[in-house]
This record gives sequence, structure tokens and C-alpha cells, in this order.
Amino acid sequence: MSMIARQSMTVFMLAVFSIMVGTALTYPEGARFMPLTVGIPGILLCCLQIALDFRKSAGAEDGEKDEIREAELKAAKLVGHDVEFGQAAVIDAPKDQKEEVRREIITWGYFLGFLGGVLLFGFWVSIPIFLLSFLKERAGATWTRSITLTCIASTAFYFIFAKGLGVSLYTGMITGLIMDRIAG
Amino acid sequence: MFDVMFAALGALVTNPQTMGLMLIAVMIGLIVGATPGIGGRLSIALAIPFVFGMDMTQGAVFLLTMHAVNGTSGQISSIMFGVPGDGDDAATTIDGYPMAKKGEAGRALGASITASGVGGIIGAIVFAVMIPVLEPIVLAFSPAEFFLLAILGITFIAFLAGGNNIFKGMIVGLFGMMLATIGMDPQTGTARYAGDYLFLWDGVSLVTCVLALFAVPEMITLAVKGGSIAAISMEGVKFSYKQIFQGVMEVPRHWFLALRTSIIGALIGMVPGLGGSAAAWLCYGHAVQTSKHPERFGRGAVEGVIAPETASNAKEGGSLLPTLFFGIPGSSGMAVMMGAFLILGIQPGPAMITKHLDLVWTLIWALVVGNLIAVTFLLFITRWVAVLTFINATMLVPFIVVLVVIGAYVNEGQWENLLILLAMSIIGYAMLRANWPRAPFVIGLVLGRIAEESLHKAMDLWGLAFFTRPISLVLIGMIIATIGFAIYRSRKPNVLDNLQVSA
Amino acid sequence: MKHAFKIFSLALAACAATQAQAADEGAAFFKDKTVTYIVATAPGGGYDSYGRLVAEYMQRNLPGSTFVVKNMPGAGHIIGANAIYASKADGLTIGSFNTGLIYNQIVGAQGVKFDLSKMSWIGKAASDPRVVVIASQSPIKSFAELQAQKTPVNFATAGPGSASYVETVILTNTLKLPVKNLTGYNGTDDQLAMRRGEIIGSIASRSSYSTFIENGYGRYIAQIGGNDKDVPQLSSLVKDQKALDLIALVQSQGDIARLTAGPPAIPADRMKVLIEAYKKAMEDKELQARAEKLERPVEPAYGEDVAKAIVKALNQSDETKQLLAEALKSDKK
Repeated sequence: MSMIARQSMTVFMLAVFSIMVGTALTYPEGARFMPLTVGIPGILLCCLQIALDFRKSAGAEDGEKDEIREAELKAAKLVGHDVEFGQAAVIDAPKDQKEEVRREIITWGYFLGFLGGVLLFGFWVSIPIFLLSFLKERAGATWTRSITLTCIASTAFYFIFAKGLGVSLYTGMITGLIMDRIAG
Repeated sequence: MFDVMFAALGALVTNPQTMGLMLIAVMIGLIVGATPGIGGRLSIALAIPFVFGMDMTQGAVFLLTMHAVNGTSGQISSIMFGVPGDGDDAATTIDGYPMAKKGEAGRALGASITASGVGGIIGAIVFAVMIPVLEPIVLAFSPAEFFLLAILGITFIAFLAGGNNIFKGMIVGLFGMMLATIGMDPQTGTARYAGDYLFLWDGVSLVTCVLALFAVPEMITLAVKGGSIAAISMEGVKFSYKQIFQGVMEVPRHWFLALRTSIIGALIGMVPGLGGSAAAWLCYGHAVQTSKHPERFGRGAVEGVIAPETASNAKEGGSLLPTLFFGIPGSSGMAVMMGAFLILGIQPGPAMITKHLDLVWTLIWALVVGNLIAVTFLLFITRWVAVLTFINATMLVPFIVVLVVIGAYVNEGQWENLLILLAMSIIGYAMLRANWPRAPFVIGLVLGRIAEESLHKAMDLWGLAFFTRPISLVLIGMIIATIGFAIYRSRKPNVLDNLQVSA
Repeated sequence: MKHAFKIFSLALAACAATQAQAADEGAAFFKDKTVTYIVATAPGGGYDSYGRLVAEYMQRNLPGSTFVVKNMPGAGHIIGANAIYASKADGLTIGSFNTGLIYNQIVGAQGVKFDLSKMSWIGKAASDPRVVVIASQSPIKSFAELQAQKTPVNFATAGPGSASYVETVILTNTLKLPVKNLTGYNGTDDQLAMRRGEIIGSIASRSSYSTFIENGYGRYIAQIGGNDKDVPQLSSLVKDQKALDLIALVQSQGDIARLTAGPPAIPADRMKVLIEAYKKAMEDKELQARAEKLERPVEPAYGEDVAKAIVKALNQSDETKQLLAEALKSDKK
């Protein structure tokens, strides 16, 4: 884990605490008690952690990885069974750092796309699109498989949630507008 | 007394109609419980119209079984996919999912399912035993004690992140508590950090946060890393009932822990006001605290699965006590149940002991038998279900993601909740990548709210003098002991000290 | 001239035809349509159970329709009420929320995006009188004794801003009762607190306390509204006019419980159909039996009657509004 990335988490936390503490100061006394009691120690701890992170040099990075592997093996022995890590046949693992980052971005893209789709077009439109595209593109399934699985899953979801539990799932902002227009 | 006890059991199991209803209830409860985000309240609320005409005993048995079993099936997705069904399940996920990643899903499931069963049964026993002393115990816990219990739970955070991670764990815990302050404060009614955003007035939804922090990052990581959930190939593991059986035997192996956490869970359930998730987390913390090798937790320690599961099932039995005998529900699920009881013509109150003792025993037995049925059934299907951890995970991911998003939406009924899901998912993923512990967040969120509400009431009632109440002093002693122990532990030289708790 | 006459009569005929069609359209409109019944609370609990009951029986009495219950909890029923108010006024969305939102509207509370006086009122199902409850271990046996207390006694209310809080605070302040209001007791927290002895009393809805009282844990010393004769009406125990006005306001709240309403300006013909279906549902013996079991026997009122009562309740004198706003502020620390 790179130094910057490690620091950024702490910095983020620091920012959150600071903003919330700052806002809390504008609240009446009873309301600001808890945020201050929690936030101020939070800020202090973040500063301590940042200081701690600075003291770790970059060289310890790789050493740490081996240490962790060794420690994991020890832990496995302690727990009582021999399970070997990392020697597995892992299908489809990313080849290198760059590939991994690329995949991260793509996967997040799918997730954000799905959420956006749900918000704009509702569940019933987004679910099939998401399932189909993910299965086909990301999981590399064949067209027939993807379509079949998507159909089965979508119908199952519909029956369980809409019919079975009677919960009405969000229809989406744009779809809602369109449906209103059609209904007149 | 014994004759009433066993007469009730006899009447229960020999009545085919009642048993039939119980089976249906178990099935429904399991299915509803397996879906993340869909809570027990909804299933009971939906069942109420059917219950209107039913015979009193049968109706009560039906609903109670359904409710009790609801909490049991959430562990399946928690362990196998790292997708918790609600706040309770998140505790199981912390160690359950790493076990699955090691290819031990069967073992984990065997242990957790058995633990649920055991917890439920012990909870029913505690319920039966506590009937005479219920009143003084429940009444002894006031806001002062709740506050200190919450603080005690929060100090457990110090244990969950051992070694040089202690700051990160505490920061995350405080972050959870910070988010717990979002919403209307109990004292002045100021809508903190919410302004005109009504959906935040009641705070951030626990279920959404849990799903966002645990489920989504795990799913994304799976999709990125490829392969299957179990990081080892299938040939390496003898997959059969053997592994599940191994898991089942873990519970007797850790019998003392299971007994303790069940009793603690039942007691927490008995006292209305502490809330559901508190039981699972307090017992998880207790397990870490009392273990000889706390650094194993978060990497697949089976105690980390046993403790929360026994607790969350035991508390169901416990929470039935005040509901039946006081007419004061022990949890929000019980509040709905009470409404159903009233419909059935059951009048909760002290008269239950004198006039309806047979019904009370029937309900206790229903809990026991229902748990047994659920456990047997689950253990049976686990074999097939656990195989999923070995197939290409990228195929599983989209379906689980859809379920998670549906669950997050249905839980609150508003689309704005999905924005919270998004924000917390990003934070959760960042935490996962940066190797920051996430478990303390849930503790902070759950207990932070209880802590503030209780503190406010305690101060209103007694001012600072509330610290000097007898039980309060005991709890303060425990808190100091816990902190002291934590400091002592972190000082001990330990090979595994550099191990970062990746939960 | 003849030409114009022809056009005129054609137009007239067309008008008449559409009128007739509109009247028919009312009932026919709901055939094969889905009506969403919004409940402003989470599943389970009084409002949800009642809402589902109403939805089920309205569906039975509106042939061809399907009623779906949608839970929209949050912000003390405000989210649900806002949603109902903002929904399309085609008669396909109606719902239920806490009548106490009247208070929120009167003081112009934050977050309120509805105007109850403009909503389309279908009806209300029950009455829910308020009671003043005292814990059984307290020596206070009557309202007079409460007023005579030398040191303030602890009363419990729900969170600030809630209807329970508003009612308790305005009543205890205006009646100058020796009472200290402690906030944050939601749901049945106050009952447990009374058992523990931390709280002596509470002002709440009668139905929420009936089990408590029947078990002997408390007693009623006064009530507001309702038909039971066992407890004196608060209005009979008080002389101050300001107080009486406020009591009347609280009573109007209690009278209109379990309401069903829709967004403003639902077409009249569809409203007629909805109100008819609601009426038939309320008169259904089966529904009445079920409502009894939910501890809320049916005491219905429909359409215009409810609308008038709501408008009346909203129409408070400036003085009362001042009192409400003040009472809400004075108790804040």
C-alpha cells in the first residue's frame, strides 16, 4: 500500500471529523455535546496516526508483505489446520498493478452505472441491463447463458419482491416522468 | 411445574396442524431472512392479516417461529459472500467470510448454524429460568446502565484492532459514533447535519451502512481479483459433509464460550432498550477479549462466528420475556409481535404467569423446536450452498449486487438512501484497500446512538450522580478493567503483532 | 345562422356526452389500476396495520383495482406526508399519516412541504382520545392532587418536535402543572420508565396505554375526548380559557385518527368513488371486527366532514400559534 494512499485515508478521516466538529459548533449546547465529545478525540487520533505513518519508511513496504505472509501461516497453524495460501490456481487473476487498477475502475463503473440507472430509470429497467452487461462483458459468459440467467433472475426478483412481498421498488425519475406523460 | 412444561411440549409436537404451521413459518422465516436488508418486521407485518382468524396458540407459535428463524438465515450470505443481512450479521461476517476465503465455508456454516441453534435453545432456557426474577432484573437497568454498557461495548473497539493498529481501530470507531450523531438529537430536536434533507433526520440507516461497508467492497474486490471466493482450488479441499460436521463440532469444542455468549445475549434481549445489534457485537467483543490469541480474530477464527450467532439468537428468547410479562416489547421486532399477540387475543402482562402458563411454555417450546427444525434444514442444504464459494465469483457478483441494492432501498423506502449506500461503499472500499478495520464502525454506529440517548436521559434524571448507582459502579469497573487489559495485551511481545486486522 | 346553430348543438351534444362519460369514468377508471397506499411508518405497528387493513378492504370494494401498500418511514411521518402531498393527483396515490402533523403545520416546522387544508380528504377511521397517566406507585390519585404537588414530577415525552412532545409541553405549560418534561422516550420507553419509578406520568393516547393500565401499572387521572365515562374530561377540570382552547385543539387531534388522504385536487368523480369504497370498507363487519382486535374500534367520518375538521384545527388564533411556538421553544435547553 503506497504511502500516499495510506495517508489519504487518515487525512480523509481528519477532514470528516473537522468538518463535523466545525458544524457542530453552530448547534445549541445540548445538540453539540456528542459530536464534540466524539469529534475532538477523533481529530487528535488522526493527527497521531499521520505522525505515525510518517515514521514508517518506504523500505519497510516489501518487508511487510513477507512478514504478513509468514504471520498468516503462523496464524493458520495456531487456528489448527494446514491451509496453504497463495499456492492456489486462481482463474482470471489480474496480471499486474495496472491491470488491477483498470479492473477496479471498470467494476466501479458498473456499480455506479447500476445505481445511476436505478435512480433514473428504476429497478425494473436497470436490473436486466446491469445483469446482462456484467455477465457478458465482465464475467465473460456466452450470450445464451447471459440472457438466460438474466431472464431467470429478473423474473425471480420480480416475483419475490413485487408480488411476494408486495414492496414497490423505485421506478426512477425519468421513467416516472415518461410514465406520467403516457398516462396523460 | 414440570407437568405443565412437558404437557405443553406434548401438545405442541403432537398437533399436526401446529407442526405444519411451524414448518411453513420456518421456511418463510429462512427465505426472508436470507435476503439482505429485508427485515423481520416486514414479514410479521405481512403475516398479520393471515393471523386474524387463527387459534390463539397456533397463531402465536406461527409468528414467533417465523420471527425467531428470521435472524438465522442471514448468516449464510454473511459467511459465503461477506454480505451481511443486517447489523447482527456484520459481526458474523468479520470472521465468517475470511473462513470462506480459506475454503472453509462449510466449516464456518456448520459452526454458525449450530451456534444459532444452541443460542436459541439456551435463550429459551434462560427465558424459562428467569421468569420469577424477571421484574427486578429488567427494572434495574435504567438509562445510566445503558450508557455505561454502551461505553463498555465501545471500549471493545480497542480489542478488535490489536497491535499497532490501535489508533486506526479507534478512529474508525469514533467515525461510526460521529455518523451516529447525524439526525435529530434527543435533547433539542436539532436536525444535525441534515438540514432540510428529511431522509437523514432519523440518522443513517444501519442496514445500509453495513451493506455498503462490507458487502459492496467485497463484491467489487471479488470482481477485480477474479477467481472464486475461496482462494484455493476445489481439489485442495475435501468437500463433503465432513467439513460441515467439523464445523458443527466446533461448538461443543468451545462450549463454555457458547454458553457464556448465549446467556449474555439472552440477558441483553431481556432488557428492553439496548437494541438488537448490541448483543451480537458485545459478545463478539467478549470472545476477542477472553481469547488467548485475539490476533486470530478477523482472519477466520471460528469463535468469531460462534459468539455473535449464539448471542443474536439467544436474545430472541430473552426479548420475549418483557414483551409477554410486561406488555413492553423487548425489541422493535417484538413490538410488532406484541401487536400481533393482541390481535390473537393474548393479553401480555403479569397475568400470563397465573392464567396462561401453558401458553408461555408452548411459546418457549416453539422457540426450541423451531430452532431445531431450522438448524437441521440449514445444515442439510449447506452442502450445496457452500459450493457456490468455489465457482467463478464474477458470475455471482452481479446477482448479489442487485440484491444488496434492493435490500438497501426497501429498508428505508426512499431513493435517497441509495446515495448513502454509494457514499459509504466508496468509504468502505477505501478502508478495505487501505487495510483499515471496518468492524469498529458498526460498533460505533450502533452503540453511539444508545450512548447519547441514555446519557441525556441519565443526566436529566440524576445529573452526574448517576455514576454512583450500584450497577453503574460495577460497569465502570468493567470498563476500566477492559481498557487496562487492552493496554497490557498490546504491550506483550507477540510475533503476530504486525498483523493487520483486515476486517 | 343555421350553420352556427348546427355547430352549437353539436358542441352541446359533445359536452353532454363527455359529462356522462366522466361520471362513468369515475368507477371505471379504477378498473385494472394499481392504487398505492402510502404508510408513513415502517412495517408493523399501529399505522401500518391499520393502513394495510384499510387498503385491503378498499380494494374489495373497488372492483378491478389492486391496492399496494408502500412504507415511507422517517422524520416523524413528515416524509410520508410530503410524498402523498406531492404525488400525482390522479386518485392512484393515497395514504395515511399521524394527525399530529397538524401541529407541525401550524408552527411552520422545518421540512413540512404539505398543506393539510388542501389535501383531498377521504376519511378517518377511528378516534384516539388522550389521557393523563400516572404510575401506580405514585400517591397522586387525581388531577387536583397533581396540580397541588409542591415539587415538579417527571413526565415523559417522545423526542422534541413529535406530536407527543408538543401536546405534553403545551398542556403542562399552559395549565402550569408542576411537571418536568423529560424527552427522548420513544415507543414504549415511557412505560418501562414508569415501572422503574424514574417517570411519574405521561400524556399519551389511550390505546397505547390500555394494556399498561389493565395490568395495574398505572391509572388515568384525566382524558381529552373520547366516549369513555370512567375518567373525567380534562376540560371539566380546568377554567382558564386559553387552556380550554388548547384542550379543544388536542381533542380535535384525537378525534381524527387513522386518516386517509390524497394529494390536492383529485378529480371530483374519482374522489367520490374512493370515498364510497372507503365507506363500504368501514361498514364491513369483518373489518370492524379486525379493527377491534387492533384495539382501535372503528368510528368513521368521511370526506367533507374530515376536511372541515382539519381546516378548523389548522385555523388557530394567533395567540394559540404563539403559545404553540413558545411552548416548543421554552422547553429547549
